[in-house]
Amino acid sequence: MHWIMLITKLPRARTTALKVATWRRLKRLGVYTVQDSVYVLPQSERTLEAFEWIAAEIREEGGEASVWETTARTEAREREMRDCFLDQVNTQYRTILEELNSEPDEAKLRQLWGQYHKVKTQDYLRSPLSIEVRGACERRAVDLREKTEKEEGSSS
Amino acid sequence: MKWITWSEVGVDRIACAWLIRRTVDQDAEFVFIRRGSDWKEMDGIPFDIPGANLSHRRGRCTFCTILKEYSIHDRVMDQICAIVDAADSVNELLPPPEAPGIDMICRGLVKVLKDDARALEVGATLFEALYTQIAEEI
Repeated sequence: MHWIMLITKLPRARTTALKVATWRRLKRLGVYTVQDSVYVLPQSERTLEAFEWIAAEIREEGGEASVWETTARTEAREREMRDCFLDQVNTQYRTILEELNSEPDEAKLRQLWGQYHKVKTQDYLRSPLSIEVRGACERRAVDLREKTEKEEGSSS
Repeated sequence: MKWITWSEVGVDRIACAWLIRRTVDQDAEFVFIRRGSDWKEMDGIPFDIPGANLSHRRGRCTFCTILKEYSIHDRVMDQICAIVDAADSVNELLPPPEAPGIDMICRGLVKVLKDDARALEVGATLFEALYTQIAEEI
């Protein structure tokens, strides 16, 4: 698999705001942290672009940052990275599935649907659970619609 | 004037090119370079390339930078800016509902058309339509 790597060194002065901004963006991307200041993502135009922008911002603020294309040298590392990317989305998908099992109301379902799409942006390796969550959301939506129709039917 | 940007254009580059032609330089000619290739010695204005003057600023998209740089004051453009912002960089709190759809279509354009210049052309129609519709509903 092709991976891209971001290596950063934040400037000493004015670090806090940049540190927080960088951290938030990396978190949103769901990066794999190799070690301090070294981050990996599966390679795609979107992830490359994201890393390039983070690197540019750090350099602009006087820090150092570079983006590399890379491969894992051991099967163990390759597996570890794949597992990391799958685990982090699967954990979130499972949380959503659990919430869906407890029959959420319409507002909650909307919220879960939004959450699902957020997780999907980090689902680089296309976890099979994604389809399951989508299906569960859709089934719940049908249930809710049928429930309201029934209620409206009995009240009229 | 020549305007330089990275090839395989997406939402921000398409929107910027449309904005440039519409309000900054009617005769703009766009030059596409491969991601990561040198642009500093090139003749023209680079935009939406990491490190260039016209690029992301403070986590906001290049479209936003161009609006500011050329003092474009237009409420419709501000709304389009919010859409590009959400699609391209950060606007987690209040993402406009149009954003993910437009982002996806823009990412697909160059793949279908297999040509950056064509993607900008078709994309320009898309953003002109968006502008018209937002102006009507604002």
